[in-house]
Amino acid sequence: MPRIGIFIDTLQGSIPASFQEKISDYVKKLPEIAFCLEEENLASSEALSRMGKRLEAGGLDGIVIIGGSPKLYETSFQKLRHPLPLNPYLFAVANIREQALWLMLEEEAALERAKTIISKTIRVVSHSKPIETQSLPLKPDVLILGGGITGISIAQELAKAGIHVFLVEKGTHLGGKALELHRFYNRPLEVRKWMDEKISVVKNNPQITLLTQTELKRLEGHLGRFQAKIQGPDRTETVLAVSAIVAATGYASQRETKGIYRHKRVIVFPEMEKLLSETKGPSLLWDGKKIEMVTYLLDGVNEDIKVDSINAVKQALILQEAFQCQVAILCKDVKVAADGMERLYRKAREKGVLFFKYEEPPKLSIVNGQIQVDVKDTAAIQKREQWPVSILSDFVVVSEAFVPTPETESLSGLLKIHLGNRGFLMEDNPQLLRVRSNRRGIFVAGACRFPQEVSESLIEARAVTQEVTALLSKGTYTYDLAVAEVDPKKCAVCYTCPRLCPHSAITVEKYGEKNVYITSGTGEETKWGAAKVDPASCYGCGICVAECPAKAITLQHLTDAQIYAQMGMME
Amino acid sequence: MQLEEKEVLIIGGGISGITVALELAQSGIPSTLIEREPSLGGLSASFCCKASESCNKCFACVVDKRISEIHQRQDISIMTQTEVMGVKGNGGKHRVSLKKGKERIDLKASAVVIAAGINPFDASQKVEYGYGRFKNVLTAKDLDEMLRYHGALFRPSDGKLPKTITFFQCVGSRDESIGNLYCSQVCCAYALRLIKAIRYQYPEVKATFLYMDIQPAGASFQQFLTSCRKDKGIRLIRSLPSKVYHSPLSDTLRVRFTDPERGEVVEDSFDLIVLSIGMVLSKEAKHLTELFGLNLTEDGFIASPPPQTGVFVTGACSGPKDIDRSILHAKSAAFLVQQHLRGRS
Repeated sequence: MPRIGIFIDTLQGSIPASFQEKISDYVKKLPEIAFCLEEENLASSEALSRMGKRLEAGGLDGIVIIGGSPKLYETSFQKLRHPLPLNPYLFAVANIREQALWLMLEEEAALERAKTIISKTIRVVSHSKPIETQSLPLKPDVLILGGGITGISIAQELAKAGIHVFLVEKGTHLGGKALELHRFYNRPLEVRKWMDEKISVVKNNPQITLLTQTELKRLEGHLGRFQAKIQGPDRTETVLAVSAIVAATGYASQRETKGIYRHKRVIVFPEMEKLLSETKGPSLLWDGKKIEMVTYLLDGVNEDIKVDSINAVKQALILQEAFQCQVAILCKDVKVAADGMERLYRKAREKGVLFFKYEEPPKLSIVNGQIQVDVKDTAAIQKREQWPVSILSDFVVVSEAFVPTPETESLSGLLKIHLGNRGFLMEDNPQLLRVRSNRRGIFVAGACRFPQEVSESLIEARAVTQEVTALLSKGTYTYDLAVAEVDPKKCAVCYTCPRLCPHSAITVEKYGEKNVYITSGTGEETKWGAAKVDPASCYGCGICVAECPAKAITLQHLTDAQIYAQMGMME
Repeated sequence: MQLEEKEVLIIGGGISGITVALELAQSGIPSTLIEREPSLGGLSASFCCKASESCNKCFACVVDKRISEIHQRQDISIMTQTEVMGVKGNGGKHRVSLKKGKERIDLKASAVVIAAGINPFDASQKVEYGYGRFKNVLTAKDLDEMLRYHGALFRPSDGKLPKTITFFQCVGSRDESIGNLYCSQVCCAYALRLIKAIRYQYPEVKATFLYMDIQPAGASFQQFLTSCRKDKGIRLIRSLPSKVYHSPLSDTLRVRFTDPERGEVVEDSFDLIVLSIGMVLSKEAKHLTELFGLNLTEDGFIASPPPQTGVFVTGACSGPKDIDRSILHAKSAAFLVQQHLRGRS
């Protein structure tokens, strides 16, 4: 018979004395009870210290607190001396205030309900086992995939924090898509110069091992013990042992090449950016002729991405101010949801940049070697003003579609992290926040998640650095063993659980000599592996427990025995 | 008068301040978090869950979770109903005097994080929309709190379910007439999520969304917007209303706006009007910038000083941000604070 200690908390009178007395009478008659103490306010420091002393006296198998919502006690229990004299998993709260007293109109009914709650809680505690914590050593080694602006920044910041970084880039040089930019919209800097400085810092930092023309081929292990097999330029393979991984592989752009989009006067943003950076003179020349009219056609693709709108307004201002061009910007919505953008948009309008908002896609046609754009402006107030406007342009700048890099899908398979909509890497569960992936120890940053402005990517890079340093700074990762555990004897290696686990915490491993399976009738011994949950990677969600056909998996803090006991099905 | 020595002082107990404190604690740096109000959470703590058939990623639940998380920590000292009275020193040696009720507290801090948050724009400044005069004109924040604390949608005038509801976007944002030349960045997604949640709970309610430009908000926004466009009970109209009239015989309100479909000025009546109010820096936050000798940005938010000053600005007080971005920026700020403390900044 387990010995259970009871504390009744009257919550400063919100459980009336008469009711509390009846509860005490009931509790004291129960066989498992070691003692039953009443407190007026269990959250007070005096009551907590009395409780602490009683626990230190020992001889208990569990504690039940009868009172209000468990949330009330969570905070105050942190004030108890650590380590607790009793394992935290041996505590349970019977919430008779919210769930009985405040719920039932009749006192008699409330009392009956309270008794049921109390007896169930006592049964659960009687079946609880202490659950220990474990720690996992973490070496300060991190693998960053992708040498674009996000990857470079993370590497630089992590190195400053004393963490060794393997920066793996599949191409021959660092910089990625940011090198296609000439100027920032919000900073008076030349991107190239700024990037060159950053790149040289990364190249010369002894804390950063730079591996270009290198790709990830295979990944094994979990948080703290990742084994990443990479392939270098001469097909040599190396295995890196790292504690955490950051995916910052960026995006790819896809150009529309059908019909008129093949025309040499239809160009994309990086081409215009290049032209602007290379032209020094007072006018913009192309094919020996002065460019006078440039039209931007936005929102054909990438409707939800702000970058094109920002770049269009930025380039329009340069074209208008430095090269005396006339500029028209055609879009569905003017995207100004970035710091300083509304002002830039107003400035462009004041300088004479024309904005048209369309609903039907504008038509492009070739007229005398130039491109004519016909657009119907929906912002015109009078119906009769909404005739199509024809703009004869020297250049039409169109958006490229931002798509995941070709390797993204295989990378998600290697890293066992989820793909979101449109095939970018996913962070999208709000509970996991932007930079964490579904696997502990693997982070996602920058445009491989969602293409955005450089300034936002830099902030994301620092947020990742914060996450990684917070994880690695203590040198160990401490976790509760309140997780799922597989009984290898019962496991039939059906691969149901590794497929279902949302956090990729389950792998199938050899359990040595324990798994000896005798095929019935043959007498032949077959050795086979079993599923294994990595406790440091498990979130304790219980999906595998519910789905395991062989009932081989148990959740340590919520066993079947506890559930049955709670339901009163054990006796 | 007591003298305490603490590493980091965080001003503002909204989601940004809470995130900075939690992140620093993760890295073993204790901090003091002060909040003017009696409880933590700030503006975002009053937001309701805006899920429809599935989660619409409004992040309201994340705030609740972080608040309970911070209360469980021992290494963060939380002082509510506390205000900054004065600051001395700089460059990593700040002496800040605080006022908690009648008590004065002096605190030494190597780094100060300002996460003072924002105020919602005072909608009564836009006289033509009748906020404060008409009972059935609410701000989006009023509606959000109604859903969170009353768990129901009703018309303030008679307590009945409104059959038609309209949202006015950009109230106090992108508006030269009141001098707010910036986009508040969050209101489009915020209002559309509210509409989605209401339409899910009350399919009989028809919603109208009057806007200038729809501003995208993150990775899953396009899908969400498409589902809004497909919904026959939601009208998205690119037009900003000019005036709201009270209908003398009933409690409905008449709204005058340009209908781009018909190409003319129309009037339509609605049971409830919701104003999507923008963000402005609060008086208190402005006072803080004076105390710390900080500058304001062109748009009237707090500009970040160089890191060697030991003062860091994060969250919406440095420019409009939603919960998601506030958390991200707060993490980034926490990292800068650590670098500063290590003397590497």
